[in-house]
Amino acid sequence: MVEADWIIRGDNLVIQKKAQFSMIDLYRTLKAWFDLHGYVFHEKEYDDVVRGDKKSVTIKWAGQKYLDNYTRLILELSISLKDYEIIETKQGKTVEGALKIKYEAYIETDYEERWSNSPIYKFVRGVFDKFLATGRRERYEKEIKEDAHDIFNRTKSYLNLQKFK
Amino acid sequence: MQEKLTIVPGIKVKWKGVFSMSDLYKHIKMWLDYQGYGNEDKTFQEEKFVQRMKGDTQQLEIRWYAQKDISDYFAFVIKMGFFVLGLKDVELEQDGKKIKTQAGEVEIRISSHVLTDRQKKWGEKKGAFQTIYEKFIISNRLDDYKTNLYSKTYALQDEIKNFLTMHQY
Repeated sequence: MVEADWIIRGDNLVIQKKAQFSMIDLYRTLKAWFDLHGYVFHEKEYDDVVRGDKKSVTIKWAGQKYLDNYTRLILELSISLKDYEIIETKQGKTVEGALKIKYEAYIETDYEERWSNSPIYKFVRGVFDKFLATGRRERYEKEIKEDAHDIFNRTKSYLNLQKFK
Repeated sequence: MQEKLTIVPGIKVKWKGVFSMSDLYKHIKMWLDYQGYGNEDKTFQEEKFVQRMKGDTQQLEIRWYAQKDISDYFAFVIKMGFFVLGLKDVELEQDGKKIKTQAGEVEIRISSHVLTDRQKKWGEKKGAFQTIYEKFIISNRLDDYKTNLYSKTYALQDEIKNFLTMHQY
């Protein structure tokens, strides 16, 4: 089983605002970002809840970037849109509601599960990760941090531009 | 050697009044399921379910063991106990409509621990290898898991409190 080391977790990287935007455009923008940066994109969860006249949706998107046959980077976006309503505009349908996007990032090692068969292998693998491959590890941590901040800024730009539409 | 590292030794939620036990049961089960603790084939166990009738009221005692495997070495465990006294069906009137629900007194106890060497691969006794592994090699990861389980345990307590206070008629 893979080991995950969290680099960005919880509410450390979050966008929270009342926004009007096109969900399809947001999807396209972020999907394009994942593709451009070499991440395999997938939707982990889609939960649409209707309570009376109020609608809320929770979506989880994740991207996996395979660095080698031992390490991969994972970027997860949890999008929550509460009490939204659909508004028809000249550009098409948009949604307006309380938006929260949470960005989380972690590094998974031994995703092919080659080193988890015995404690000795696991120990050697731990020593290798901690003491021998430190330079490489730091490079990976830097890369995923930069990627997380980049997609965070990309989303902010997209949402800020919506008011000029 | 398998070890239990206690994260939250025991927290309680107590409630007396109107609540639906079946809704509460379903709500917590769904929350655990959503968080990855609800695999009934592998890691979720209802260790105890005792229902006693006392006149027109019920007494319930339920115990859950919910485990989430984090890696081949670590697992998170949340243990829960429900103690319900004087549970009875009641009928309320809201906006001219009659609603069937329940009333009684419930106490929910929650504890959590991180399980190390969950597959018991490192032997019966904790040797030097395992000690070095935990203290020097994966100490950051272990700290991170402890923090995560701590916040999850309190999130569960909040979820129960919110359910009980918000589902009022």
